[in-house]
Amino acid sequence: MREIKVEIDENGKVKILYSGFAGGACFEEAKKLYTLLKAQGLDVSIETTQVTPEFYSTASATKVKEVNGG
Amino acid sequence: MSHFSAIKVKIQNPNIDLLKNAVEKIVQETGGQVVQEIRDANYNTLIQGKDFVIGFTNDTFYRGVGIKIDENGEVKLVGDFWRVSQEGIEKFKQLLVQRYASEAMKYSLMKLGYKVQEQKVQDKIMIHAMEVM
Repeated sequence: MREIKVEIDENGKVKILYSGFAGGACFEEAKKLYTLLKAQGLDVSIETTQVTPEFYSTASATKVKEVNGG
Repeated sequence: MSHFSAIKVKIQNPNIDLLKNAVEKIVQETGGQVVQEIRDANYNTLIQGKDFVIGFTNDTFYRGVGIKIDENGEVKLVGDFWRVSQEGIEKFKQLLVQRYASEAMKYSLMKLGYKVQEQKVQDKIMIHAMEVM
């Protein structure tokens, strides 16, 4: 299941964790989210982005699937 | 596939309804009250409801403060700040950014089809969004 966890501190710093997305879908979802936030008057500047261990496990699983399938 | 992002946010041209919600929550949390007029140091009416989005009183802003959006889309506080602590004003500004970010985040996540839950843990607001199946 797709999940997004958000933590907002008192200095306006926001940490967002995306999990359960297939392929590059989490980056697409982040883009949609930032567009909506901007439309609501929240100016967003990205400070850091990093992939989580799940990124690699899902990417490997996808690759194995492709090899087996092809 | 998953990733983690850290972002910094700033309010610019806010949604009026979300701004009202954010301020109302701060008013509740700080034991304040929404008001229709703001008074000056002599307790005369300084400004009325039509001149601001929402106004309130609490321990910091005991004569009241109005929240308005200026011509550049920035959120401004209006009131008589005689003997109101600068620290209290700065604290409120921080709370407003945090609360507004939370309201905008929940609204946006719901628009994307998620079910959202919010929780306040010490000084942080945590939001958990789950895809609606």
